[in-house]
Amino acid sequence: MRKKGQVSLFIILGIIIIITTSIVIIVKNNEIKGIYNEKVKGYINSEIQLTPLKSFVESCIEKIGYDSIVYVGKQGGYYNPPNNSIGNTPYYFINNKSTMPSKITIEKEISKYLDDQLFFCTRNFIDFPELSIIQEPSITKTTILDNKIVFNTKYNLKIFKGDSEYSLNNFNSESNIRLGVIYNSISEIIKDQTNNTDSICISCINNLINKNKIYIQIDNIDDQTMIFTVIDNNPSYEFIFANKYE
Amino acid sequence: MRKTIIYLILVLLLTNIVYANPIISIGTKALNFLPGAGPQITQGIEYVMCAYTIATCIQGKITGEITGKFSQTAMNALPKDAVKAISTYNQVRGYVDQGASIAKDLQVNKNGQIESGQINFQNNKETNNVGKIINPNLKAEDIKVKGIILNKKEDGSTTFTFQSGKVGEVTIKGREFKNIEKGNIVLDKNGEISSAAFYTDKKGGIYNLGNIEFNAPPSSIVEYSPKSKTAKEGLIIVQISGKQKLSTLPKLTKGSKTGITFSLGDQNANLDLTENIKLTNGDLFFRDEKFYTHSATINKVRIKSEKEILLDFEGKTLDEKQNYVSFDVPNKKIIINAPDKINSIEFQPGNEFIRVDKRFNDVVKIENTAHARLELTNRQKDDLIDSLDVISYTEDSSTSIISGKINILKNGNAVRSKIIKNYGKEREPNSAAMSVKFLDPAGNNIFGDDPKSALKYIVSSDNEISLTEELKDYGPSNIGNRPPLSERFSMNYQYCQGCGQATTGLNIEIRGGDGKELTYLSELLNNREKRALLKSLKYDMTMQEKDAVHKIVIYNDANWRDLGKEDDRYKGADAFSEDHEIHISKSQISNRGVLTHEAAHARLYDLNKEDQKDVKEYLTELQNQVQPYSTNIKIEGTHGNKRWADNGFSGPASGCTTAYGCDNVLEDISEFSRVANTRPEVMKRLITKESDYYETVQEKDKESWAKLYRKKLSFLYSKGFIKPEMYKKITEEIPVVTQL
Repeated sequence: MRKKGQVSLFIILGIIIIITTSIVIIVKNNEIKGIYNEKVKGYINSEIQLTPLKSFVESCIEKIGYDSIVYVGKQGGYYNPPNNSIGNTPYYFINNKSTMPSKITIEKEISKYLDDQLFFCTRNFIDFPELSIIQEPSITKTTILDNKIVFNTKYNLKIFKGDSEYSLNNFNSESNIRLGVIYNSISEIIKDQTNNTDSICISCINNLINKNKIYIQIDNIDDQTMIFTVIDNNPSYEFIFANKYE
Repeated sequence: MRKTIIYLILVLLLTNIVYANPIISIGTKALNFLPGAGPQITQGIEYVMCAYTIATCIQGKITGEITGKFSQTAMNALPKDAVKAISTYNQVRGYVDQGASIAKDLQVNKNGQIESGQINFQNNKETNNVGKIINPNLKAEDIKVKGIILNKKEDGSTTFTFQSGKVGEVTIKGREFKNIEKGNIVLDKNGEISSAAFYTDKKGGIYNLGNIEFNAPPSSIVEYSPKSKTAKEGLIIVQISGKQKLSTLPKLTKGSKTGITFSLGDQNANLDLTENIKLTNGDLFFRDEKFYTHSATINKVRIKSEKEILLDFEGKTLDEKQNYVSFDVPNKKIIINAPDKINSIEFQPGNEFIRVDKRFNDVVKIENTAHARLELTNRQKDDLIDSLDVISYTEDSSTSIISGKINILKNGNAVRSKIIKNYGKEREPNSAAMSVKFLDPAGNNIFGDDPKSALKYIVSSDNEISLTEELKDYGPSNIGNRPPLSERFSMNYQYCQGCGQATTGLNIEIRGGDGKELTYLSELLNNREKRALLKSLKYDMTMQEKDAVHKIVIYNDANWRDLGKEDDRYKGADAFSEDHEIHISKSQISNRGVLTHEAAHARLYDLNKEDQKDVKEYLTELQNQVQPYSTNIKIEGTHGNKRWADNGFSGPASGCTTAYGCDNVLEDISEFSRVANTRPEVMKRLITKESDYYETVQEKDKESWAKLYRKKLSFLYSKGFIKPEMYKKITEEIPVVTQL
């Protein structure tokens, strides 16, 4: 009889524990959900606040990125042309050797220009008077693909609005300039040049033109120096370099 | 000892033979007896001579001259062994009676053969039959002579010598040799021609040597020496002097195993082989009814080859396995076939197949052609540049085409190009315009993706090369004698239908001092100016403006100034819109935008056919909303140098892009086009009221001015005066410069 009473006591205790635990769990969940919802709401609120700013920055990256591609294109892939240049046009072939920069070099040059000039587009965010923004220098990683160029810019912004503080860090943009196609075409030209140092393979260039739908214009400065202008019409773009023949 | 005796006997026998053969010696006046005659013959003849009074004798002894021949009766009385010799004497006497003379006594043997001696027939007016003298087995008439010296040698050969001033003729078994100024013909003991060397006189003639019948023109040297070690290909050499013509091509007669070489004797010599074919340098040899050469200049085409080249003068396509050059003069086409290798073909100024101009030091050569056939055609009659097709027989075919400083090399599976450098102090060569295609024997392109494409390499007349797939080739719009100008300025070019890259039909005329028309851009413009011209034409105009310009005439500055004194149109550049022409001076070429301005005038004229009224009226209406042209706007200055009267400034104001633009609506349109297409940053400022351009403008007016400029810009863009990419740049992309 005593034994039966103990068992009943344990059962009741167990039920109480279960109920209590359930209540605690339910309450906790609601709390978490509340916090989560608060956070999400806060997050969504900040996103809404920051969207124009993000768009603005990315449009600047797109614009300045385009300018940088055009600028370095006119200087053979360089922001600042190297010593081995004629005027602002670098030699890609001189002394019977290739001096063509790597794709990574050109990517870095584009990035350099972009990071230098981005400020002139963002203009200290004067278009966003309601925000107070602290910015760090941007660091862009440019990737040249065949049919586009991708900009990944790390641009740390701390944004203050009233009592709220937000941050934006990473921005992305693209340009549809076919620099990759152009670079690869030029690579083939230079590769042929190093194997045949005193002449230009016109039939090879014709194949490149047809395959890649580009134009190539070669202008001689003197008997030894040729300026190559690679022209794309879709979209419009020019890339210029020089070769010097012995 | 035994051997010595045998040698002695042999010597005696030979001596006996030698000295035993001639029995008489015939001089002009004397008949002498030689030891070989022996007393019996000697006395016998003397008796007859005395008896028959052909010699002056006393008591049977010959004391005086021998005159006359032996009569038949006398002949019958001669000793048997003397008859033949005396017959020969008679024959010789006959010659002498006709005027010949014995220059060297004739040695006659018992058989009547003249073994040696010389007869001078130069004073003979009649032809003499001397066949028997040459060889007793010949008929007398087999060999006829007149006016020459006959020299018989002991080895049996006979030389006929022609001398200047004496008209000589020789006929040898039906073959005539006359019109010979001087020289020799040598017969062997059988009476066959063994060698000959003579000059023809002012008439020349047709001769037959080595069984080849050929024409040796006047004043030629003919050499025939089949046994000579230095004999060239063809055992007959005819060396030409002066400007001569072949009256007939050589013919082979039966049994001919030799050939004939025609060679030019001096720099001024040339030879017309046919009516259309002229040899001006080098040698041709004729063999098997065909002409060949290793080195010759024919119709100003210089051919050089280590391997023998067959020549055809009728433009035929021959066996492709044979190295040959075929001249088709009426159709101005030449075929160079090199299944093996031909070293060099150079086209000199004045040749018929590609226009090479000496004035500009044009140079065209084709070198080291192997395993290919080249066909070059002058297409001036079709108003096109000349065409060169390179047809490859094998994959490893090769050729090197040099035109001026451009060298196009086909070697294996690539076409390469390079600039030929280092001319030192020599004048730089210039290229001749041509269109070059690389084909297989079926006529398909061997380069490029599409074998059926019309891919061709265009060499300009200005040391430039480009690629095109246009169906039509280039050529001058005007048919004339001048060579075509290149319409291409880029090294490499891709045809793009409708994309406006090509300025097909654009004719560029160059005028030098006194307005005289020149031919090549290089004559007037340096490289920088050419590039400026290129840039303007390619980048600074809309498609519609380019299409509106059919001709550009570029003048020497001095000539332009002179023209401007009499005609205001020649001050600053001018567009003769109705003719779709732009006239411009050389120095204005480098002034960026000038051509754009003038092209806009031409474009407006084209719009005239559509809705020019709309353009002028609308633009005038817009401008009048602020300040009308001319009437209210004070502008001063001369053509092209107009300034605002109030401040001397020439830049944008009053709704126009320049003071000059506000002169009238036509100039406004052209100046808008010029500024928008070449200075988009300026135009950007004009359409943006916030720009620094409007800093000094009253606030209330900024918007209206900017709006005006925007409207005019937008409207002109819609009418084809502003390039799309520039319009976009002006309206969307260039950041406004403001204070930070």
